[in-house]
Amino acid sequence: MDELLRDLMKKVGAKGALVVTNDGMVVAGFVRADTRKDVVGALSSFLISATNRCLMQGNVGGFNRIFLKATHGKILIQALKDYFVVVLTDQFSDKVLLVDETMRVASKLRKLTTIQS
Amino acid sequence: MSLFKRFKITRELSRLEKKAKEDPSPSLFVDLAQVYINLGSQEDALRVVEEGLVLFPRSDELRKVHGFAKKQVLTKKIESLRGELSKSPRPHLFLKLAQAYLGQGDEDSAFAVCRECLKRYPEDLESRLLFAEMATRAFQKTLNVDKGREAHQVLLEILERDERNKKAHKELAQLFFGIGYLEGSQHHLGILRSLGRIDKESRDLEQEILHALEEGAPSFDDPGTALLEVEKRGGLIHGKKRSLGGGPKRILASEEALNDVREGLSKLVAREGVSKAAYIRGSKALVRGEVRDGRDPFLKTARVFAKVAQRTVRRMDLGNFSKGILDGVFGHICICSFGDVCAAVQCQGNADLDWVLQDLQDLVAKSLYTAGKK
Repeated sequence: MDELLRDLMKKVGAKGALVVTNDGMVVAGFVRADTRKDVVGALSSFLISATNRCLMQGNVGGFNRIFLKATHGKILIQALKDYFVVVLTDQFSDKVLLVDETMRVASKLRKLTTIQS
Repeated sequence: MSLFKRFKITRELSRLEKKAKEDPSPSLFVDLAQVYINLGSQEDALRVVEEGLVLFPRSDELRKVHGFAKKQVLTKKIESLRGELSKSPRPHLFLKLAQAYLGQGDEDSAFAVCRECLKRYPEDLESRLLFAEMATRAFQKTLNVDKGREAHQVLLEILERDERNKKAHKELAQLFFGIGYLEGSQHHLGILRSLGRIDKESRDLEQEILHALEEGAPSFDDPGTALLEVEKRGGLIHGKKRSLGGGPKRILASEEALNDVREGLSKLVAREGVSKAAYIRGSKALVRGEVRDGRDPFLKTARVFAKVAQRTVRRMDLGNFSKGILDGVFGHICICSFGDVCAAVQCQGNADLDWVLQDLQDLVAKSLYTAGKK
């Protein structure tokens, strides 16, 4: 898992890449020294739970992906089964590359975490 | 939840509470309350928000969370009261339940509970009085004359049972003043005076009546005629709420900006794959496309997502949230936000999201520019 996330960070030039659970626990991941892993995990969880709650109340189903663009960075949250891949980049990163690479890593992570029968 | 996890959360919460006391800020209180809400401890959330409101009484976010937490606490209270009522129904329990519904803003349920109570306990004056008060407020709010008649009738029923009931006299005096039956209002204020000292509100009402009579303001001979006049005018004769249509209307922005927004929304909906579009500013929204009504999930999602995204990026030190895309089985919800203004669309897979986001940005920028220019 660590290897995949490190590879993802290198390819998209990310400031951080994490795997977090629905309740904000960081399962694995790396962030740059100026960012705190637990803060990113907790805030991602806040965003995920608030968005999901709203969608569920409206009976429109859950979300697969969240992409946010802010003044100094971008955030991508890709939903896996019970957890989420969170990637932080600066504002100059390429969105298409970010989405594609995250999807690729997410599918590998999905395989990695599925218990083979 | 495991004991260890609970311990960790409790420790984290006490750390946050300590921090909130040492270095208070509205967002810290909001976050703390949010954690309590997520943990299902609405009472603690309410306590934290109330502490926050003492320090930051003007914080909109804190007020919103306060409203939400209060609603949640009331929902719990309603459940427990309903349970108690099913075991042993008592008039005071009905009254508490009706008040809890009122606290939630659910007037219909409050009316239904009062009616049920009066059916079972016709002699219970407290619930009759609450019913009358609710009917009066509903009449003043909606100007529905039937509600006004109902309030009048119920208040008279109370006085039939207890002619010294001060609350009923006061309520009648206020109702009559509103509909322009000044003589009736003075009559009940006179009775109130004869029953002992009257409160400031009633004294002020007396003064207002005298002032209205001196100015030659309209006064009717009986409540029936007065109510019919209110219906005809579409507004109360005296009091704050004179007319539903009167007074300056609050506008979203200047008319020019509104036209630009309408045009922009129409342009967005015309794009391939776009089904719904909205321009949201505070609690107001302009919509185009397949938006059913104000409760459409798209509108709520756009509002909540914009707010939560802004808070998240701010706390992550990423500056201000500007654009976002939410993908799911419903398609895509694209949002562009600036300050309290936000434009959003819901579209399907075949829509070009980059162009949609560009259009949204243009829409928001144009609306702010035109409003600012004005």
